[in-house]
Amino acid sequence: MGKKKNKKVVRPWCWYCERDFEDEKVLIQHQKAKHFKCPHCNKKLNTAGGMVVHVAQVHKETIDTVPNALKGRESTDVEIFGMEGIPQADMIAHMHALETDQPTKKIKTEEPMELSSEEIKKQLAQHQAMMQNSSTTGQPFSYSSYSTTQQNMPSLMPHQYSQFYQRPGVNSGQTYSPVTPYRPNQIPGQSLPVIPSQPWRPSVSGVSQPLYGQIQPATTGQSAIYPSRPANSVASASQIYPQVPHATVSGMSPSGQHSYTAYTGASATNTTITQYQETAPTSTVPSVGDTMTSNETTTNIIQSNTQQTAQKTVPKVVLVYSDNEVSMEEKRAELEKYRYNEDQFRQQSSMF
Amino acid sequence: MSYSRPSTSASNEAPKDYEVPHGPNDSVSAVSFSPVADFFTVSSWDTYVRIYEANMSTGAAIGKALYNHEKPVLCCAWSKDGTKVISGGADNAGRCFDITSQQVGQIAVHDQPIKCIKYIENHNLVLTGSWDKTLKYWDMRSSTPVLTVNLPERCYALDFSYPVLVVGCAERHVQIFDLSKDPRTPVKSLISPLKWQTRCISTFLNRSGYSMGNVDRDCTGYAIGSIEGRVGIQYFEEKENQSSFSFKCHRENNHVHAVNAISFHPTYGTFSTAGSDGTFNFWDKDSKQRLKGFSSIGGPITSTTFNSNGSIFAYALSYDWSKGLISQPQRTAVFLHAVKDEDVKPKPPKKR
Repeated sequence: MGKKKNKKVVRPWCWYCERDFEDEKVLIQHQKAKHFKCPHCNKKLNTAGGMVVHVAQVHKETIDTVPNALKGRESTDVEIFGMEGIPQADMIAHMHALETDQPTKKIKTEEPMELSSEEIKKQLAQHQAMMQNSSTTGQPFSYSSYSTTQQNMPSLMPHQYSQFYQRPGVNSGQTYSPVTPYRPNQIPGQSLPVIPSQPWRPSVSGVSQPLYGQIQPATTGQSAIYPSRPANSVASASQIYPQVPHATVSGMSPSGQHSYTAYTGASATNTTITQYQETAPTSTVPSVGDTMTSNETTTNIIQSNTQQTAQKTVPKVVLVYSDNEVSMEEKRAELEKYRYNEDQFRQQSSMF
Repeated sequence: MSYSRPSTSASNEAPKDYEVPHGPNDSVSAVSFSPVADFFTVSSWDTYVRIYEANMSTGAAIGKALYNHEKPVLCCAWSKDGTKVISGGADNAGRCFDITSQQVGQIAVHDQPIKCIKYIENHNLVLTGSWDKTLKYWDMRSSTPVLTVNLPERCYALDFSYPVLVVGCAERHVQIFDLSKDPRTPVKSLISPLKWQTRCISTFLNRSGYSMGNVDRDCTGYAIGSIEGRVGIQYFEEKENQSSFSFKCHRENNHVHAVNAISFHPTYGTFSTAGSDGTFNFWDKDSKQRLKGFSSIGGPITSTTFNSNGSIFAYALSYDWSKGLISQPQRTAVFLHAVKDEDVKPKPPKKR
């Protein structure tokens, strides 16, 4: 209920220059024109990564800053598309700015419909109450609030994913998230009370720290990823986290395992010729790392908002055949009708 | 950079083509034209290889011969002199049918079904590629292979223009061999430029390689198709005016179909793509244009080929397993398309 009322609060805004816009379409137009335009030929790309690849391939030059961006936001490594991919911390900072600066005026003039100042005040009060609450308990980064905000993330991820990757098939129930193999929840008999449902993200609590390496011996790359995590250090999680895709790569390389790990790793290492480097998974992941300053209400707004826009803008592309590991013919040949009998085969080859 | 999309173009016309009578009873795995006459073979999942003659004067095709494997046939090809038909199947065997003596003999054996077969006239050898992750070279008189080459993954597609052999494997591996130097070790091992499973590969020659009385016949690159409606044109050596690129095709609305077949025109060097969506298109890679598009024939196209002079384009309508096991019977038919010169002739590049 609260979600529905609040969703109009945030106007789409540009992470690179902190401008906000009437709707996301305009924002995307703005980004393409201001931040993702190739400086050499004025071609408008969809993302900063796309621009980097374009400049590298077409003009054989490297570009490492996003034009017209604010200081500190010039990185081309952050995948922004409209409202997608904005680091949580910045998102929250933006929310704060909106709420604390001139909330009523801003919203009255630019969002005249549907939202009364009462509601905003109420929300603000709520927010402040929560902030106060957490500071009085002396646990601004308490696990409980942390985990609740995180719980909402999995629902967001698929959209983000398909948004960035523009890769069909993801919505059809396939999990290509590079993080999937590391879910701590898979551990049988292991209780992780702090993070009851965040299957996509390893625990940040020191409690689970010694588990890695023990319980997942199958994939050796794993222990390398989480070598020695300092207990209770939240920041370390976000530091370690971005490394995951790389570690996956090195873990799989020459042996050619057919596991999902291997595949996702391979897809992350598109090297020379590919035109789709804008999709490198690394970039979205770190953005999730630091949400601790948030309160639940704010994140909810953000999420419902981004989710909505994601649904609007992403055309649902469906791969008719989406099994990347096995070919159609191999599957077909497995069918009883077509399958070759091993005994028959031996007989025949001995005759031959 | 990209071709105009088939769906947006108005030039699609329904192909009205000749259906080969007495076609196979199950899906077609491959169609192949004799390099010397207008004979063609159709290999099928019904275990048979059928040999037809296309009569150019009457415009009809008649069955000439057939032979069978113990299990579905996955590939077929002709010897250079047009006297032998070779085929490989799910019975892990390669067979050779002698047109003159009408005799069938086994010429190759693998541990897994043979997905690809080619006749290499320069060495008078048969090359087979299998899901057992090997390539084997056979001299047809011996029961042991002349040479076995290990691949990183299951062989899905291969093509060669002597001396260059390009093999596409599972997990997006691509191996390029130089047969005149060392067929044992690839000169290049790379990962497909496309992000999804390799479906088909076709090598192409340099421009002059397609003109009459060509002396300078260099294989300059290959086209690779994936299950995600995308074709990559890859040059071995990047030059000023020709660099590798990829383009989308065989997509309707938000459904992305596999690219099942790519065939290069023997005299013009333009090429066809055909997909699970039941359409086929003619393209010019040099001007980056679609020359001609046809509307869907109502079911997947599994294989295509041009005859030796490029006047006939044969394609097979049959179910390709892209939706797995489905209950309703799918139509199987082989069509002969009289190629119009203007549909396959290269066009000058569009002005931008």
